[in-house]
Amino acid sequence: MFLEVKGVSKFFKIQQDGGFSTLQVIDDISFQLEEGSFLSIIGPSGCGKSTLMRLIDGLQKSDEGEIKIKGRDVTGPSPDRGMVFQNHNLMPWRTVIKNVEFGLEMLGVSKQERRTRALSVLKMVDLTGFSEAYPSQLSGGMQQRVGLARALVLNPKLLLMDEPFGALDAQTKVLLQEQLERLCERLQNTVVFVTHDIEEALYLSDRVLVMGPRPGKIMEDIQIPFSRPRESGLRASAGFAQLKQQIWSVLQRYSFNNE
Amino acid sequence: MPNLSSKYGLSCSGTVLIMSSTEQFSRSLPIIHSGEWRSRFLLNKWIQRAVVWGSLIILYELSALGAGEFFLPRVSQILVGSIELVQEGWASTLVGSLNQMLLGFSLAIAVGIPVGLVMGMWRVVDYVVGMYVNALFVMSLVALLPLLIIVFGVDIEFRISVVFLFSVFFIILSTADGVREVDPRLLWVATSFNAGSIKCFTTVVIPSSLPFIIAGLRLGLANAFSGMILAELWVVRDTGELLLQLGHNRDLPKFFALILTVTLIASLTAALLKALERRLTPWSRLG
Repeated sequence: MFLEVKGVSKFFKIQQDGGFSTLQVIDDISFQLEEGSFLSIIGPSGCGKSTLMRLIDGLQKSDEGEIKIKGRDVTGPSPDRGMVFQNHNLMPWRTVIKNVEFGLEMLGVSKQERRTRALSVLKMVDLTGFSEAYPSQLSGGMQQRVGLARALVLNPKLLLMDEPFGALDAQTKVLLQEQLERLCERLQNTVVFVTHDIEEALYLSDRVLVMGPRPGKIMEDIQIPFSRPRESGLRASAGFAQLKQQIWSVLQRYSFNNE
Repeated sequence: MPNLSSKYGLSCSGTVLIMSSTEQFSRSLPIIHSGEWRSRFLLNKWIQRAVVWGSLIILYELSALGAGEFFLPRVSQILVGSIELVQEGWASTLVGSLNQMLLGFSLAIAVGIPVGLVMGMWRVVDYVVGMYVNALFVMSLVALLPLLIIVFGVDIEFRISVVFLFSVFFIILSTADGVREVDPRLLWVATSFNAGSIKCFTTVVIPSSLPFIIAGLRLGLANAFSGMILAELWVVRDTGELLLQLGHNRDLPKFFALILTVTLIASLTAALLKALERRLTPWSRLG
């Protein structure tokens, strides 16, 4: 199995009334993921989706349970994993290409090789002419594509995407989803994608995990039967609408439980 | 299933075209389309400056004529005065003053930036040191001059210490503010891409706080000039001594010439720092 998450829980210490109390954000999460598949994790905000991503990336450590990639424990960030962040999080003082090169620079890759690899990835996300621009000169959709390129340039075996299209307008979002779908089809890497957009999750994934409100648990594990490559007309099909309704009813049930 | 994407013209390259054309120019600056030379002429900053400065000089000349040269020297007299100052060899005096000022200011940079960085990064340091820095920052440092004379005497050490104290707090506080403003999400990003703590510092903390550091340097430099003149007035040396002498002798043309020269040098160095800022932080002027 490529990615194994076994009984993972995470607690945060929070300051409250002069003392400390613990808050459980993730509760006993377990799932397995095959190589090359696209998994989406969907859930209400604050359910610990982003925390789970940081645990898989190795940015934080879980308090209980274990996370393994190809049988090896995750102990910290590794070039095997590439993360695409919410709100792009590009470095404003670096040009587009310098942002893309960042990961390679940290690995000590030579300047020449960095440049060639960054340029080829920028071409992949259709940003060839913008390598010398600063992030603030780009639109939201382009900034997010730079964020994607920054992760892809490392040729990560596992691509982690934390609500990458959350802040974009509806049209740009759909266009980027289609572009991402084609890219993943081509690169065949494993993706874990966090979102709160049901349609996005359905369109992109082979499998969707639905998480309940905090402390986040997996409520439902749904296989998505649609064939690839996916057409933009898929969104209008009956099967799509049915699955959308199914996921929504799960989300709805658990949200009302908690209110 | 029919190929819907080609039906709607959303082929791969088609998408690219749509996105580039709508996104490419969304952040570019508005272009002034009125090609009239008159508006361009009026908008030129050097022409605006020439008009303002010219009027001020004329206004000054008129008031100097009205007040008489016992109170205000005329522009032509100030020019003559500055030539006389150079002929009498006072230029080297000014250079000497500036050298000592630069020594004090360099010391302030060498201390201020590291202290500011450390203060911004570790809250503990801020708790311990921040109190004193803030107290000295708001306190009138002039009140400390008698104490400094007792400690350092009246020689170069005193003047350097005054310049140092006048500028160091601006540098410390601005640098610390810059470090506190670092976006923690960017530190996550750097860590995620395998940057250790030293790399996080050099690739995120330093560039992110650079605009603040340079702003601190500019404020500090302006105050270093005040410190320089003040210290020299206290111990009656170099430029300060000359100013006192000229004032006592009521040699107003030279007095004005000297003050204008010091102002000019201070403005030029400030402009130099501004240029340095533009060179080092080209991104900060965008978006």
